[in-house]
Amino acid sequence: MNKIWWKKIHNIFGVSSALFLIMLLVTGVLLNHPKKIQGNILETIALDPKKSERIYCGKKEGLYFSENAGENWNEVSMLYPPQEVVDIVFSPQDSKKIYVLEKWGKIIFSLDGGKIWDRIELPFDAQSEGIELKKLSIGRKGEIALLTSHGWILSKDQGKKWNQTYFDKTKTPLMRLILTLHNGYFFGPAFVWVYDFSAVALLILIISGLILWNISRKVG
Amino acid sequence: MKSKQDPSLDCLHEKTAPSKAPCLERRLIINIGLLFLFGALNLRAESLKDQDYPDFVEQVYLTEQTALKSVFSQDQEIVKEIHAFKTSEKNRIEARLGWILQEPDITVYKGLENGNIKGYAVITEEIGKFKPITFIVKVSDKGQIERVEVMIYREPVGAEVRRQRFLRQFRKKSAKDSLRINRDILNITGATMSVQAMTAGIKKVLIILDELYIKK
Repeated sequence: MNKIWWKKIHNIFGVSSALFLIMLLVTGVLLNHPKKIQGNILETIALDPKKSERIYCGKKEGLYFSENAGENWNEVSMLYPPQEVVDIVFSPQDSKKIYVLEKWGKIIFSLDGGKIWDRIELPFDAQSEGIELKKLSIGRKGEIALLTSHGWILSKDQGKKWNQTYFDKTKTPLMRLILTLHNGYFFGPAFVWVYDFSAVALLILIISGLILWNISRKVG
Repeated sequence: MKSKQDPSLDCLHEKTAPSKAPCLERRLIINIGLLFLFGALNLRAESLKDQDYPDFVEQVYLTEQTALKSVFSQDQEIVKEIHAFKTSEKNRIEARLGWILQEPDITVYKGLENGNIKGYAVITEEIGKFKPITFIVKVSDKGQIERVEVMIYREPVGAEVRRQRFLRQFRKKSAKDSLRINRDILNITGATMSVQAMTAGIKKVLIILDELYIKK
């Protein structure tokens, strides 16, 4: 009697949680490959302080601008189109000086209102060192403050030298450690596919378990 | 009968008493688990090693001479020209590139047949992840790419850009093409920086040649 009762409990909880597990597995795999499902989404937006009809927006792929308050948009044409633009900042002194921040890349800037661009080198390689670039601030004398996932850095000479007092690239934030362990990136990009494989294997186990349970019920 | 069974298979028989002998299944699970863990830690170590960028391996696939021989036909005379950019040219090129032009000049190899220009080749370098990639771009007299070849690759990863499957994509592209990655040019997973560098470098060559020679 006791054994049958436990078996029933096991079946009820097993079958009901199986549906949620399937959902978790499928969404987990999709979340591990965001580029494939997100498309070219809008990441950030900035108005020209001197001319508010002129708007810049940063997307997953590229930088776009509008001259008529967002009615029409054109991609800013440049040799190295920025990827995952997370911040766009106008210089407080001169709105023709525009600074654009890539999430895993560099700072790019234009001194002539977005016609010709160049890059500012950082004292680290954001992508390979797993340092996320978050926010940019430009001072009145052209100082650049850059907030990253590992602290912030400051340059007073357009990125030639960086003050790294409040930055430590060796220290991995706890949340990032947990996140990378969770999605597999901790062990390297290839390991994400191992996680995907495990998720698919678990999915097959759940489905085959449900089929076996159904067969045994019919036989019983 | 039971006592003669292999003790390692004890756990497979429900009614057999628990044995201290290592179970075959358990051993298999532990081994797979250890393999998994070892692989994971190894990958982690590799990714950490990559951060210090120590494995600088210079691979020379083509020298200047062999590269030029391979892109121009034998009956063509190759004439080398170093063109220093005038300020007006630099401004026009930068405006078309949307990017600052760091180089003060460009070395162009012209392929001549009976005194007529049949094509141009430029040997150029573009920084990949950390090191420059040296490559040659051969353009027809009408400004269309005929061939691209990687001459020297200097980084431990991303050398897939020298494969013909990737380089073939640039054929017949001209200065009018936008050459956007994932739109006009297919990216290579794991070699994104090298793909970006090569694509930008090729676009730069096309625009410079168009501005200096072809448009005229």
